[in-house]
Amino acid sequence: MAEQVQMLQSKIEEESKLLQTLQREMQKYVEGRQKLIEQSHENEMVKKELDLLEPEAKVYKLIASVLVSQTLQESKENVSKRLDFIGKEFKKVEDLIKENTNKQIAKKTSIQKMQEQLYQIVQAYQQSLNK
Amino acid sequence: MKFTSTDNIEVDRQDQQKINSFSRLNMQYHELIRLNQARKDELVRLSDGKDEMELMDDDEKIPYKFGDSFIRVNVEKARTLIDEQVIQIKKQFEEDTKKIEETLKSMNNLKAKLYAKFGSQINLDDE
Repeated sequence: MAEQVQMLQSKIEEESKLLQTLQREMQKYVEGRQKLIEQSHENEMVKKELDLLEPEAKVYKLIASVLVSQTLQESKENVSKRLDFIGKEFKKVEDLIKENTNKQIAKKTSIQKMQEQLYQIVQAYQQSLNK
Repeated sequence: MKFTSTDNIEVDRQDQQKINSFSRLNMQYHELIRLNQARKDELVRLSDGKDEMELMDDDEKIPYKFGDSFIRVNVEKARTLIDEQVIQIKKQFEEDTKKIEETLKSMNNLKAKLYAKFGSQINLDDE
């Protein structure tokens, strides 16, 4: 009985550590997702501004410390490409979040089952002592 | 019947000071890492800036960022200014790389002592 208990306890500990890893992973995904949302908003705003401009308008791009001039066409394309990329990355992270959520649920269920088993074993033992 | 149990070892004043020091060093370490990563990114952007100016004539004027304002300078001057910035950033990067090494050394020293006393009751790794 003691062996069973020890085995279950160490298994529960093992699974709990794996669950913690999944939770840390999830946190990173959520942070990443948040960043993508911010970037998306920023680029959407730029796109709106660019759409308001006349074709002859002067556009500049800040690269580190220099303001380089760009054509309106170029900047629109750049923003558009960036928004596409962000969209793709966003879908990726959403899929990862979904997958992680499912894995966490499975782990929690497994841990719960083992805890129930443990409880039953201890119960049964205590009852046998009371006889 | 034998269940696994965790013995609770007492934390004395010196231990607490070690833990506090470790915490300080850990925060310093993460901050230095963050700064150096930002410097790396800045160096890449500065290099991109130089690339963009490649196609321009040396005496063409380009707005250069000074703080929150822009001053039109010659492309040649802009290149020089960028080079100076790069030297500065690389210097800071090197200095902080050394600090990171030293900080890690101190952290590992404390880790060894604290793990020796507390074993699995303390967690000093969080990566």
